[in-house]
Amino acid sequence: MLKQTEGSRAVAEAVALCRPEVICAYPISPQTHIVEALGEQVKSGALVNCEFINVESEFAAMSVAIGASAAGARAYTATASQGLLFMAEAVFNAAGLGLPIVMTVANRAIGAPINIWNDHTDAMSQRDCGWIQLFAENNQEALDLHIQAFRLAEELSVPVMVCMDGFILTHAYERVDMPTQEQVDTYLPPYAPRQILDPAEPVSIGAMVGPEAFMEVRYLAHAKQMQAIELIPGYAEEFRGVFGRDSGGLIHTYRADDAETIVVALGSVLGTVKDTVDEMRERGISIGVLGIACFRPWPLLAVRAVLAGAKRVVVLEKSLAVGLGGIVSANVETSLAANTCELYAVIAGLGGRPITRASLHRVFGEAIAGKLAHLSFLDLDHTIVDRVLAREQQTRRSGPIAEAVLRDIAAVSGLRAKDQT
Amino acid sequence: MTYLLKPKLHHPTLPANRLGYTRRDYEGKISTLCAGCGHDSISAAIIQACWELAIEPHKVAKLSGIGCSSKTPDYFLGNSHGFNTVHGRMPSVLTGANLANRELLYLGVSGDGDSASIGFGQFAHSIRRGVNMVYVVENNGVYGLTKGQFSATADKGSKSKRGVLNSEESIDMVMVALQLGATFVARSFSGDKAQLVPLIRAAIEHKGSAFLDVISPCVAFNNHEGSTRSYDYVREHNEAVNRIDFIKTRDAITTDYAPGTVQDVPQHDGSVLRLRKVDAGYDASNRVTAMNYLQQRAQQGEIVTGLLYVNADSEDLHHHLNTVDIPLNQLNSKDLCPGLAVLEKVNAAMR
Repeated sequence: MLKQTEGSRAVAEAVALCRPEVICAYPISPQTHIVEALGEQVKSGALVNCEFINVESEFAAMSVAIGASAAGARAYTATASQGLLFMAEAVFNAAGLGLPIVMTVANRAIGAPINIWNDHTDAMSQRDCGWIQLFAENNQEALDLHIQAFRLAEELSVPVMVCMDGFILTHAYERVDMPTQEQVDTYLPPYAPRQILDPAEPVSIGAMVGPEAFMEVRYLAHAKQMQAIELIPGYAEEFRGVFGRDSGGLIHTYRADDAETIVVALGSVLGTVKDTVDEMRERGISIGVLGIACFRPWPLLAVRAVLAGAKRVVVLEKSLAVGLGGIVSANVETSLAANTCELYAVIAGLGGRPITRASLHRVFGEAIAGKLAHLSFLDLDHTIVDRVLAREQQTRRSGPIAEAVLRDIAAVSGLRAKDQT
Repeated sequence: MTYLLKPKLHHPTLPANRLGYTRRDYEGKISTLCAGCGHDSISAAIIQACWELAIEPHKVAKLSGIGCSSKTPDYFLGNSHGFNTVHGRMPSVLTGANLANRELLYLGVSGDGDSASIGFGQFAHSIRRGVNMVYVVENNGVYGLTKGQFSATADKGSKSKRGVLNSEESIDMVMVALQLGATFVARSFSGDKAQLVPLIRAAIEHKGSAFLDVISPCVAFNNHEGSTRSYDYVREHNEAVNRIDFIKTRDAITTDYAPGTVQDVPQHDGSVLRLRKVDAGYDASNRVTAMNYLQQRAQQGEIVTGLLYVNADSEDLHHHLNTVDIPLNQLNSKDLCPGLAVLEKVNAAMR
């Protein structure tokens, strides 16, 4: 059924249709609306056979989800940013134990400096812990991916993280096609756990594993992810059969078949990228898009196949490996193999900085002209950066950086810093 | 973060304190909290207390976590040091800063979400360690910044703005602080400045962990009928056990009191903390009777305020650790390394 709703509410409705049995959450922007809506559904009785637990921290949220999942319940939680970092130990634990928890991450920057706006630093910080990571391009895909996530998680007994851009998606009102309960029930079978804390058949979970077996357990986590690579396209196909639309899968391509330049990105920025690409195509420029829908496991061969004919690849990414550069681009590089095309990493949109079509036109144009550095920072204010660096040269006690930048911006904008108290 | 500038205007009639500063010198940026927020009243009380005590602003460190309460250090003591830490970690960061530099006045400002939920462990351990600080919890029983969920201090049976009753037991921060060995424990109400300002002054003068639980109604999400943290409810159920007249030795004691209505608590520096009793039977120097009294009154639905417990012989973490008087961050290699000759002597003693 078509409806106009907020991204968070759409996801909450989709999660409710998946018949979760335990939901545990701690509020954090921009995720709060999701669990708030689910809490309302549980309280009102609209969502039956489900316990909603208002825990005291994110660490508790993931720990409760682990306990619930181990007890055989379909468990769900949601978080963002600092919350994901605070629960990190338990996030690794859920993956290591192979518990099929589904978690929404409403992507948000990580402090310090504290920042509530969108980028992908939070999800990227947990990329190698053993969770499957799916990235939604729009609200329709965000809600669809949750339905697929439960299916995938429970089939493989692996936790799945559905990443959606904070505010850009979570707080945007868009038209979505909300599935019916019958459709979801057709697609998602009841949860049949691989491991369960059952008094009738007692098992122990969480054994100490020494050097004799640790490698094997970790390898099996990797093997699970390789199985996911095989399963995901089929699940997307099956999804189209039941729900009548394309959603999920490993990758999405757009005008990429014959493109000399291919832009790689993930999440909601793909919309802006496609609009820019359309405008460039109208001017006769051979450019296309590769959207990464599944970041973990990394779809190595699928990406390689798309990029095989490209002369240059521009990776637009909302995260930064400090001291290296691009994270997504480093992953893309593993797919290039013998392909000697130029690879550009463009770090963009950190802490919610808008990624505009004007800026994308400029940066893609520079890449095509061979004038773009292999690592660049979209719309970075070099004047401010140079000012801070110069000050650090001049004085030993140069003070906290973020506050200095804010003061410099105030000075540049005409507000005199010394007038502020 | 507010970008609104506050003009550095000093009204000519503003009185100056001993240092020549007016109240304006203790203010911060313009608050971005909701109009009527209890937290703004607490900020005003902190400003007043610091002005009255003629605290040097550069000798104050304000630390906070995350939440509406934790935004407030931006709105007072604009000339002091500030550190906005991550959610719930303020007490730990404060402990570290205090260990490195014992000379500053440490003002930890937190909320019920920050201190009773996500940072409960940090709160507990900073109190039991006796960190020399003023720990203010701006307690509204609700997560304001994420729009109105119950916090862990919300009373069982209290009604949310959306009409849901809280089914979980609440954490009484004052009881916890008493149990953990805080040497100064008080509760007040943001709407009672006459009580709050002297309490903050006394807490600042106290050596050790001074804990202040300030009921601070959230006008946006917890000020309705059925809430036990609304302005109306707190006013109706507020039961003050005493009023502080904090008296420094340099001040003459001029007021007369009827016998039995005053409790004097001598302080480290020779000054006297004079409590004017509202409840004649209340003894603020006895931890056990204080806890019993609080529990009994809580059962009657009353919110007991005032200076609930104070230990005149309190010590702080530096005393327990036997650290030197000089702040550790001021020790240089000469202080820390006594030299080869001393080392030889030590080694010789072991041969």
